[in-house]
Amino acid sequence: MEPETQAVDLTAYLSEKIGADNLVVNGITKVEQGMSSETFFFDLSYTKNQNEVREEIVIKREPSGGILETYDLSKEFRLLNSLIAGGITVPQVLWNEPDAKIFERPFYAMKKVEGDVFNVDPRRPSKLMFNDDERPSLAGDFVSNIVKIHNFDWKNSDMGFPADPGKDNEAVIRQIEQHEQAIDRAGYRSLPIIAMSINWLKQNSPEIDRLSIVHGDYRIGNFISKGGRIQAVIDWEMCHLGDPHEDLAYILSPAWRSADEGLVNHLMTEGEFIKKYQEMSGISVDPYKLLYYGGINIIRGLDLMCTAAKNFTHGQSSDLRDGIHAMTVDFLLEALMGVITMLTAS
Amino acid sequence: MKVSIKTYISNINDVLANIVLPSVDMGFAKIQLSYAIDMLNQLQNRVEYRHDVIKDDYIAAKAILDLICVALNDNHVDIPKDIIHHIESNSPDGVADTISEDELTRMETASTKVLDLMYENSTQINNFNEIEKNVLSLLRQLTKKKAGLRVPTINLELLES
Repeated sequence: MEPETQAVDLTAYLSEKIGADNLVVNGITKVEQGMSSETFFFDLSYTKNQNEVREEIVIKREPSGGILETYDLSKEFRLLNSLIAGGITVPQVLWNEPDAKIFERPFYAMKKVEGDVFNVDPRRPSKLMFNDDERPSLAGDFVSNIVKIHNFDWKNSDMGFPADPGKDNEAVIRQIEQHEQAIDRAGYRSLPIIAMSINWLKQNSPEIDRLSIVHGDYRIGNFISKGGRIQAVIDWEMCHLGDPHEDLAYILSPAWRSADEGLVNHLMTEGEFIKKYQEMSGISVDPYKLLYYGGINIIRGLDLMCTAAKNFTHGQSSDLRDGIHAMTVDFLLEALMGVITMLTAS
Repeated sequence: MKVSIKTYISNINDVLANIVLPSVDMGFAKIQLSYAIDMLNQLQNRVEYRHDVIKDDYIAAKAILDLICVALNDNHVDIPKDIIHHIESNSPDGVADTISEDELTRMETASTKVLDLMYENSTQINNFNEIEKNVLSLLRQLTKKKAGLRVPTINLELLES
């Protein structure tokens, strides 16, 4: 994390929001690892109900560039509120601020979750993370959280998001179309590989047996852990309704495995993951759907990489990581061809 | 659409000059970095994408276009007028070595249009599965060739140790 000097003074605003006296912002730190929305840690001291308090709060602000197109963070705020009520381990959100004048762009605030985030670079093999003592309990939490997410009763929640995409396979068709539009806006829909793959995936989409909340980015690097337990599942920007196999294909992707042991998300073998998941969720894992959603996940990756390339080209991003993302497009196209080839053969 | 070499160099230099250089304290490193920026600036107008790679993309797009157009024609599916002249352009053997990026984009766009048309009319095309298989084979060959361009990602763990 790098310290960031903010020209904006939020002291009065935060005092009012927290209901605090004598509030002092001791420091603001921006998390540099994020590639989508911006995350800031605010170190605060204040008096409340005659008690001296020192705490850090987290502010998540809408992005100005990066790999995601501009989106409404208030949806994520409402989603997190609902998920907490459903017993899913997520950070406790505090308030949503739609007024862009306060802190340059809309944001929401949440309590800081103590613990560590273990990030890996999907473009290269990574040595095994976590120690052997904490791995079994982390593996258990990893499976139980995704099971809770997939079994969450979204129909009877007040999240107001994601919108109900309708029945059968409409959710995946709509999802492909959204990615297709983003890829088109970035200027990459005219590549024959993308055109062929999108057409194929649309024409061969399997039925969705159970429409669930899909996290969309559930992996190592997107949970906070401490003492061998997952304290919070984070980064919900990609969340939507869909087939649970989409998350499962993503979780099982080679990108998140340890280099030498091939452990899924550095936690367990593929067989252990699938066995535990099926036992706990009651959802039967379908190998064809895993492969199909592997293709969908690559299309989603292309959406992100092409958007990053567009932002990089048009000067909306001065982050060189977006430049490398533009070059990652060819790698994803190769992977996509591999998946489509296997799908057409099966 | 590809990010142009000019954009890559310009953006890399922007970050190096305005973000990295001011934070480098060591004299020798600062000098080396400033020379790297200068060199990249000088290269900006001297480099472009490899012609053989552009040509490979062009030949694949043209082959797909030709393949699908024959199938569409055989199955009485109308081919849009703006596509016709692309079919009549050079055969893959006669493609010039110096295809421009604009020419490639036009050919890829035409190829994509007939691909979309093929899927829209899939039930009308008798040998659809065979055509699809052949298109896939052409695309697979292309991605295989391109894989040879990639170099391993820099290992940050080694840099940090």
